[in-house]
Amino acid sequence: MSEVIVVTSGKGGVGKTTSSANLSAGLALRGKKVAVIDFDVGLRNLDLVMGCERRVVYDFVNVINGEASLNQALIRDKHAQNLYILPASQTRDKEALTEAGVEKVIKDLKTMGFDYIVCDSPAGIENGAIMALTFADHAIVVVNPEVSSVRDSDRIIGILQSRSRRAREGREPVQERLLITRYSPKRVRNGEMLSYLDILEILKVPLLGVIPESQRVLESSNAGVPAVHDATSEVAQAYADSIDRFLGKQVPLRFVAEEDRGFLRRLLDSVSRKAA
Amino acid sequence: MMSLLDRILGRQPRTASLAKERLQVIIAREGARTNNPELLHQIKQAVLEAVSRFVPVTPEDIAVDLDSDREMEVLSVSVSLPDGRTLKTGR
Repeated sequence: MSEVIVVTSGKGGVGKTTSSANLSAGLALRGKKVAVIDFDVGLRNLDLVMGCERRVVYDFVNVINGEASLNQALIRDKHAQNLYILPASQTRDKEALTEAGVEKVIKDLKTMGFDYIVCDSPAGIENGAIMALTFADHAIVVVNPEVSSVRDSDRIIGILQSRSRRAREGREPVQERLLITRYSPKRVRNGEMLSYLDILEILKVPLLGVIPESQRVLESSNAGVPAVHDATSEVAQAYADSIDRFLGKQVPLRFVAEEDRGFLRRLLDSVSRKAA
Repeated sequence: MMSLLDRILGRQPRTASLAKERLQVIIAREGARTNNPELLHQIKQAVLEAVSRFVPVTPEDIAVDLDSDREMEVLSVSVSLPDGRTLKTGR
């Protein structure tokens, strides 16, 4: 059984592509056969984040237009087995993604035996974003603890609930889950940033995970190797936890609390330091 | 609202709670999620039941639409009656 996952957010720059790359790679590292599709026609970037930009020959639009086969266009990932990338086209206009064309590609990927088809949505609510969510069984809504991102997430959830095939055909709704990225426990504690509990209360969508703000994200995109490949980093562990939860495991939340010694503890520590 | 402690220490109010309040208000007002087909389907069923008590109508005779823009949401229900006239109600 293949399942289609859309990674979406409404707002740009919140970490959709980073999350698509890490979730896809993480699922593949767990032995799943995964295809990840870049829906951002005209602004291809998933290839760069995943380090396969020099191996792009054909793209998603070529496949839709019948100019290349899926096998020709899919790029095999060098870091994880069973992971394939379908890059977005760089030049064509956004209307190149037709509903019938996207449907056929997804159907063919299912026939090829992929366990998961991850759709990396472009920002906004235009055609590319709608196409990315149309065939979804699961939606991972990437949100930053910031007002405009939270509001846009609410908008995109509304669109999922009306425009997805599942909604239009009156089937079981798309399973939505929140992935909160760029989270800073310290700023939350100082009252400068919405807490993950605030966001959950506002959006009323179950939580998939919280990814801490980290320099590793920039470094891994510099290198073109998703952060999950270095299991020692907090970001990698937070994505791994999220993948476990996606696969149905109960995993406690990590990296959401700053190590807080509390007033008494600090007082005792300073007293014992003076005594020493 | 600044807490008493904040006042005594001369601290600024926490912006995170301000953000939460503002988001709760705007999201409730925009109601992005009410525009779903299931709700419209339920409304259509209820209208069908109500009208059927007085005039024979079929589901095809009823059209329910929900339009929204920044200002307001408009729910329009139109029922085609057997003799060709249309009964319009709205909010």
